[in-house]
Amino acid sequence: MTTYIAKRLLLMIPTLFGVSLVVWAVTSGAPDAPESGKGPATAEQGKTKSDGAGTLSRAKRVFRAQYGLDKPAILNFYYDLDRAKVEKAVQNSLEPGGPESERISRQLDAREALIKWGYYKIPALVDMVSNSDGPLRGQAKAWLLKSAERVTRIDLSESSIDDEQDIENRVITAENRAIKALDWAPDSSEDEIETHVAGILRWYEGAQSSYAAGLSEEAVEQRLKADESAALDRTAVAALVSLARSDGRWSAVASRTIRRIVAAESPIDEAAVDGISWSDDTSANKRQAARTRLDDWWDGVQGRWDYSGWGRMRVLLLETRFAKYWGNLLQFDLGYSSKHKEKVLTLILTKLRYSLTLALGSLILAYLIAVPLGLFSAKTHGQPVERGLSVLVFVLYSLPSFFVATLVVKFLSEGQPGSWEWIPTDGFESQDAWKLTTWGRVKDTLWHVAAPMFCMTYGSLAALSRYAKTGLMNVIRSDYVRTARAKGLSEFWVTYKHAARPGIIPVITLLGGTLPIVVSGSIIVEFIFRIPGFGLLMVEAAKDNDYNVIVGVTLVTAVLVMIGILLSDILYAVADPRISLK
Amino acid sequence: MSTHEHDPEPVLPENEPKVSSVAADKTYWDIVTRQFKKQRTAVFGLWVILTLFLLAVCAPLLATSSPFYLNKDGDAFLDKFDGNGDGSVSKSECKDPKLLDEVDLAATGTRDGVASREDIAAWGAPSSPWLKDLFDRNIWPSGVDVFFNLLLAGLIPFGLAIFLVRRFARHELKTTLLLCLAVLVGTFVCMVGPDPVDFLRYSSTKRDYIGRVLFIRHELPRAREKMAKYKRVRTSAGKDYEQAQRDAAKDGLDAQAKEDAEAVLLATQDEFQRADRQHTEWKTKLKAIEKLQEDPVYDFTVVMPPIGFHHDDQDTERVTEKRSINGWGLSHLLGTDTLGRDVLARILYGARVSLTIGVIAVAIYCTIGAILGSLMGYFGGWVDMLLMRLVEIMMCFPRLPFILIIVAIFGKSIFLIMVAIGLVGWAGVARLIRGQFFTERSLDYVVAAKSLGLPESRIVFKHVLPNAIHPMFVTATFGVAAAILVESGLAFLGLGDPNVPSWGQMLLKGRETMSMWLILSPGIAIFITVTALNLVGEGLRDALDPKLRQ
Repeated sequence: MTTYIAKRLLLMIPTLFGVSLVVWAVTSGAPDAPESGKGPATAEQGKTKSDGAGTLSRAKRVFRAQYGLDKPAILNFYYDLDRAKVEKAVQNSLEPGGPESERISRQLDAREALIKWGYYKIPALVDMVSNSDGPLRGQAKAWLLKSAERVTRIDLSESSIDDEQDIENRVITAENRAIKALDWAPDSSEDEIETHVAGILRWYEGAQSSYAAGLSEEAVEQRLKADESAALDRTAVAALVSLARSDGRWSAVASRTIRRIVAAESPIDEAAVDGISWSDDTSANKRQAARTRLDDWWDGVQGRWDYSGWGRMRVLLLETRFAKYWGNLLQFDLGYSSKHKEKVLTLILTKLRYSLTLALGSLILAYLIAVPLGLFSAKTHGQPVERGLSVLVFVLYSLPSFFVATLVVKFLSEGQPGSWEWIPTDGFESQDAWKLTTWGRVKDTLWHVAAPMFCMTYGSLAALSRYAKTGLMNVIRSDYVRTARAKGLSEFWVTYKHAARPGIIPVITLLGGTLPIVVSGSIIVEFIFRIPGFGLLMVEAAKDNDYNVIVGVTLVTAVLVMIGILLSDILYAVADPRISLK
Repeated sequence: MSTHEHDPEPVLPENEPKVSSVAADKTYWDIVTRQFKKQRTAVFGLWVILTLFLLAVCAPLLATSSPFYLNKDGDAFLDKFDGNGDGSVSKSECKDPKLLDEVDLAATGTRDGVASREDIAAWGAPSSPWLKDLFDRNIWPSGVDVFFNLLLAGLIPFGLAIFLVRRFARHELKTTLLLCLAVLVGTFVCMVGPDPVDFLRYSSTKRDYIGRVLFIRHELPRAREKMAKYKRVRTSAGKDYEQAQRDAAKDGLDAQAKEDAEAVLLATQDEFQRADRQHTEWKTKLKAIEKLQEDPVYDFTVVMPPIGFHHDDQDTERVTEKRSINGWGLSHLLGTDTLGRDVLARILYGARVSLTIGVIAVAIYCTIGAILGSLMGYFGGWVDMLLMRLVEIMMCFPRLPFILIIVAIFGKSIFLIMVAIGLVGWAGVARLIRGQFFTERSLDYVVAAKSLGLPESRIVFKHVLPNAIHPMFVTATFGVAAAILVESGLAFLGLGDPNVPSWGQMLLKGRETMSMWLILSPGIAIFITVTALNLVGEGLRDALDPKLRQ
C-alpha cells in the first residue's frame, strides 16, 4: 500500500504539470480581439488614437501583459528583426502597393505582423523616424509610440493595491505620459517635427544600453571622494550603479547621483528612477526596497533593445508566453483582477472558505445519506417501498439543480412575494454575523447554507445511492454472505458487518468522479444563492471579462480537484487492501 | 454490426453474449433490441425523445410568423390608392400618410417608387411565404436552424422515397434511386423555383406587413376581451358608486359614520372613474382595430401556423418588466418573456438547440475517447501510460469551469460550446473503451487476426473496436443528457450564445422576473428531456448487460 501511495504521489507531479499546460494552451490560444488588428491607421490624416493601443479593452490588455500574449509562444526570434522587413511592413500598413484586389489583405497582414513584433521592432522604427520623412515618418512614429508604451498590470486606482504595485504603476504611467509627449500632430511644422524627432532619439539613446560604457569605477570613486559628483555625466552611470550596489561607503551618494544624472538625461527614466536613491540615515528596510528598485531599473535599461549574446539567449528562451506563464506560476503570481483591483490569488484564497464549506459539506452529506439509503434499497429490493424510492431517486437524478434552486428561491426565500419566507437570501451569513458568538455564527451560517447545500446535494445523492445499492446487491448474492446466513448470524450482522463493507467500496471510488460534478454544481448554486465563493467569482469574472481571475480560478479549481482525486485514491487503497497487490 | 461473422475463427468465448441459447441466426443487436423492448419505461423514454425530435424538426410548421398561404386583394388596393386612374400608384398619389408604407411595399424593386398595375398584381398574387422563408438566412441566422429546416424539407421527399422504395422494391435498385432523385429535385424546384422575383421582394419587406397582419389577428380578440372585462368592471363599480352616494346622502348619521361614508364615496368614485377610463380606452382601441380590419388593404386571406410567432418575434404590446402580463393567454399559450417573445415558440426552437448540442458534443467526445481508448487498451505499455496521464489531467478539469474559461476567452458561440463540451468530456469514454480492450485483446479472434498478419490499424478499428464499443452507447446516452444540462447551466449563468433560444436562458429570464410561467416552462422542458434520455440510457444498460439476460 505504501508503494501504491508513493507511486500515486509521484504521478501527481506530471499531472500537475499537465494541468497547468492545458490551461496555458487555452490561454495562449486566446485570439486577439478583432479590434486589436487596427494599428494607427489614420496617422496621416488625423490624430492617432490618443490612448495608444486603446481599442483593445482594458481588461484584455492587462490579461495580455500578465500572460505575455504579445510574445511568441515558445521561442522568440524577434531579437534581430530585419530592418528592411519592418520598413516594408510599415510601408504596407500605410499604403500597400500592388494590385487593387490584394491591397486590403496586404495592409492587414502588415499590421498584424507589426503588432506581433511588439517592442522588438523599436530599433528599426527609430531608424525610420530619423531617416525618412513625409507620411512614412508619421506612420513609423505612430507605431513606435504605440509599441513603446507599457501596460500597467492593473488599473490605476485609489485603493487596495500594494505599495510595490503602486510604484510600478506610477513609473509606467509617467513613462507612458512622457512617450505620449513625443507625439506630433500631422499639421505641425518642419521645425516642430524635427524637435520631436530629436526627442525620440534622445529617449531611445537614454533607454538603450548607452549607460553601459564609460568611466571606470575607480575614477568615479575618486570624483565622489573629491565631492565632485556634479561633474559626472551619463558616462559614469554604469560605474555608479556598481558602486551603489556594492554597499560600500559611497553607495548612498552614488544612488543619489544616478538619480540626478538620469533624471536630467531622459524624460522617460525620470519617472523610473524616482525612488531608487537613499541616504546614509535611511532605514535598512527602505534601503533594501530602494536597492531592489535600482536593480530593476538597471536590468530594464541596460540592454533594452540592443541585445548582446546573453541578451539574445534570454530573449529567445525567456521572453515568451511559455516562460512568462511558468515564471508567473513559480512565483504564485496570477496577476491582478481588473475588477476587484486585488491580487487574484488573495482573492481566491478569501473565497476558498465559502466554496470549500459548501462543496465538502454537500459531499459529506451526500455520502452520509446515500450509503444507508443504498443499503435500505438493497435490503428491500423488489418491495413497493423500494420501487417508490427508486422512482424518487431517479426523478431527483434528472432534475436540473438550477431549476430546483430557482423554485426554492421563488417559493421559500425571504423577500419574494407569495413565498413562505423560510430561507434567508443574503449569501453565506447575515450582514451582522460578526456580532454573534461563535456558536451563533455557526448556526447562522448553517441556516444560510441549508438551502444551497440541499440543491447541491440531491443530485449526487441520487447517483451515489444507486451505486451503493448496485454494489450491495452484488455482494448480497455472493457465497460468503450466504455462508454467514447459514451460520445462523442475525440478519443485522449479515448485512451491516459482512455485506456492507465490501459493498460500499465501489462508492468510495466514486468520490474522485463526484468531485468535479460538485464543483460544477457549486458554481450554479453559488450564482443563484449569491454565495461569494469562487464559483460566483468566476461567473462574474466571465461576464466582466476579468480574464486573470478566470484563468486563476480554473487553475486553482483543477489543482484542488486533483488533490481531491488523489486523496480519494489513497482512501480507496486504505479501505480495500487488495489494491496494493495490483 | 456483428463482426464475428467475418472473423477467421468463428468459435466464440463463453462469456460473450453472442452465443446464448437464442437462435443462431439472430445478430447481437437483435437480441439487444429485444431486451430493450422488454422495458416499458425505456421504450416510453425513447418515444418521448423521438417526439421531441420530431417537434424540433417540425417547429416551423408549428411556430413562425410566415403565413402558409397569403392572398391579398390587389384590385381593392388599386381602387383605394389610384387617385388619377392611370393604373399605377405612386407615393404622391397617396393621401393617407399611414399607408405610405404600403405603397412602398408594393413598389419595392421598381424605379422611382411607382407601382404599376403589374407590380400591384404581383404584390397581390396568392403566395406561400412559409415555404420560401424556410431557407431565408435573414430569418434563420443560426446554423442549427438551417440544419433542422433542411431536415424538415427532407422529411417529405424522404417519406416519399421510402414509400417508393417499398413499393418498387422488386424493380432494379437503379430505378428506385432515380425515382428518389427525381422526387428530391422536384421538391427543391417547388420550393425555390416558381417565383424568384416574388421571393426576393417578399423576404425583404415582409416583416412590417406581417407585423400588421399579426397585430390585427392577435389584438382583435384581446381588445374584445378587455373591452368586455372593463365594461363589467365599470358596471359593478358604478353600482358601488351609486350605493355609496345613497349611503352618504342618508340622514341621521353621526359625524364618524358620515366621515366614513364620504371616504367610501370618494374611493368608489375613484374606482368607477378608473374603470370608465379604461373602458373608453379599450373601446377606442377596438374600434380602431376593427376599422383597420375593414380597410381593403388588410382584406386578405391568411393561413398562419398555430403559433403565429417566430422564436425571436417580439410582441410589442407585451414588452414589459411587469410580471403580471407575462402569464398565459389566448394569443400566447405559455405567455411571453420580458421582451415580448412567445415562450412556447422559444421552447420549441430551444429543443433544436438542446438536441443539437447534446448529440454533437457527445459525438465529438465519443470519437476522441474511442480512438484514444482503443490505442491505450490495445497497445498498452508506454502508449497506455502516456495517454493515461492525459486522461488523468482531463479528469481534473470540472466541466463547467473549463467550458467557462473557453467561452470567456474565445467568445460565446454555440459551436464553441459544443466543441468545448466535447473536448473536456472524453476522458471517461477513453477509460471505458480501454478497459473493454483489455478483456478483448487476449481473446482468440484477436490472436487469430494477428497471426493472419492483418495490419494493426485494421485489427484495432475493424475487429476489436466494434466488439468493445457497446458500453459506450450507454455512456453516450447519459452523456447527451449531461451535455444538455451543461449547456442549459451555462446559458442560465448568462454565458450561453445570446443569439439562439436556449432553455437555460429562458430559465434565467424566469429567475430574473420570478414569473411562474417563465420558470416552469423551460424547467419542465429540460426535466422531461433529461429524464427521457436517462430512461433510455438505463434501458440500454440493462439490455446490454449479459447478467440480466434471460
